[in-house]
Amino acid sequence: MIQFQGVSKVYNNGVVALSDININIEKGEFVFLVGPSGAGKTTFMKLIIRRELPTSGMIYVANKNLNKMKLGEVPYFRRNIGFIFQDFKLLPNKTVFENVSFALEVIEASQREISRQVPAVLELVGLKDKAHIFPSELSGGEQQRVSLARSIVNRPHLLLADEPTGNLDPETSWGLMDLLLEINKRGTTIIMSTHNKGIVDRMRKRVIALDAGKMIRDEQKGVYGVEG
Amino acid sequence: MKVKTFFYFIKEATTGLIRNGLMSLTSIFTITLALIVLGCFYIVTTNTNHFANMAKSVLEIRVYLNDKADSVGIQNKILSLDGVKDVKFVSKNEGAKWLEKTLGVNGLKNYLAEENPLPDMVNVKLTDKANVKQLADAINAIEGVNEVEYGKTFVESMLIIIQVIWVVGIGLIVIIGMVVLYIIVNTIRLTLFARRKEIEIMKLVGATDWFIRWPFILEGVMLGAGGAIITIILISKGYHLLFHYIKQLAPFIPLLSERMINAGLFWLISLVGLAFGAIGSLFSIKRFLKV
Repeated sequence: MIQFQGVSKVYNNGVVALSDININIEKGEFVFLVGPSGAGKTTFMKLIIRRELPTSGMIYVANKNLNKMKLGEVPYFRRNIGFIFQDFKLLPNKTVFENVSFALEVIEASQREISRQVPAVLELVGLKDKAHIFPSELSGGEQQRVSLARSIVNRPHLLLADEPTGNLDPETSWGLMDLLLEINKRGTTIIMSTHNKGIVDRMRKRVIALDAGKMIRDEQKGVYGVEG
Repeated sequence: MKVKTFFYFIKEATTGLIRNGLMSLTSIFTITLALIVLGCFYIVTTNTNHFANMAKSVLEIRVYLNDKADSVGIQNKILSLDGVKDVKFVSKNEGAKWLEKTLGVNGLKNYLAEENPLPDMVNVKLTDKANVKQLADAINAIEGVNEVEYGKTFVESMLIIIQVIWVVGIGLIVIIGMVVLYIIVNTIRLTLFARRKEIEIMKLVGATDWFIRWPFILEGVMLGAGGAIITIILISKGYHLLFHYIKQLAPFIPLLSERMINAGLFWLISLVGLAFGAIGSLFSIKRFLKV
């Protein structure tokens, strides 16, 4: 699904965000990306969605060579990838339903597809009854579930989650993790960056640890940190 | 493009206009000002051009021949030139007759008959679109022609006036055009700023750049169209009043008819107005698409 071959990223201001990363992530995997702030987790995600290009090395996502991808292809490529964030990024002036359908409307999906897909994902995340209220009336956990619904409404093969539990209390965090597991079971590859030690240690999934731009650990059924 | 997408674009553009109501009005106002200057410039140049053409077409070229020149051959050569309508030969004797009559000195003709210093002359009538200066030069080059004469200074000063109007007008339009673009860019930027989160999400879920651009371009085009409509109404009304005022006051001034002005004005103002809007939007959105 995702291959990094000797990937380095140096920003224009000289900051080395990633250096010589070699990773292979298979279809259907669930991967935690851990490491302190500034370790390169966000850059890693940005490289996968072709928001940034690597300074050196090759990146393949879904059999596509991102180095050679034309700018015009990028939007169509991104339609296969879902993305959720720590701060949800919901549109405050749109209802829950509209926030989710927005993702389909802007890729010119048909009305039929919208009226079939949106209720289905809202049901999956347990927000069917709250479809017509605004994000400000929802709790943090519910808002993140709307964001999740939006990211998967297009049925992507890959879901990237950038510290999705960063603003949630432990209980709602677990609710979200259950949903992510469910989505993962249906075949979607998930990469989640997190600082949440409890979740990583309990889930026992593959853990990739970054520190100062280097990959320091990659283990199956791993834990958050060796040093505790 | 799907019909639904088109309506989506229109809806988004209108929302943007309304949300920045005051700024939108300011934009339309400045676009209108710029277009009015452009329209006045158009009216002045087309009318002076028209006037110059009229003046030219009234003109004749007087061609003085050398003694013993082949007057028939020269007339044929002149007739074969582009822009010549007719030639009329005036012999030195006829010239003397004309002079006697004009000066009112009896016997002058007889006096001149003995040793007539007047040259033979050919009167050349020109067609409407003739280039007087060029023709005069061409005729002057014919063998046997001594001198040509036409309303040189008048035509040339007309040409200079037209040139000055062009330079001043274009300078003015460029300056105002830049101010207008600046204001449109900032108006659209307000909408963009209000929507930056939406644009970011659109980029992330895979909307194409053009899908994101269109509402903003439409918003700019609507601003331009607003200014254009107001300008066309104001200027055609203004020209209507001016036309009748001048017709009464100085009927000999050959103004272009209202219909001729309005047709050109409509296209010029609409196209420039819409282009202003679209270009302004494209400028301002460029930076926001780098997500």
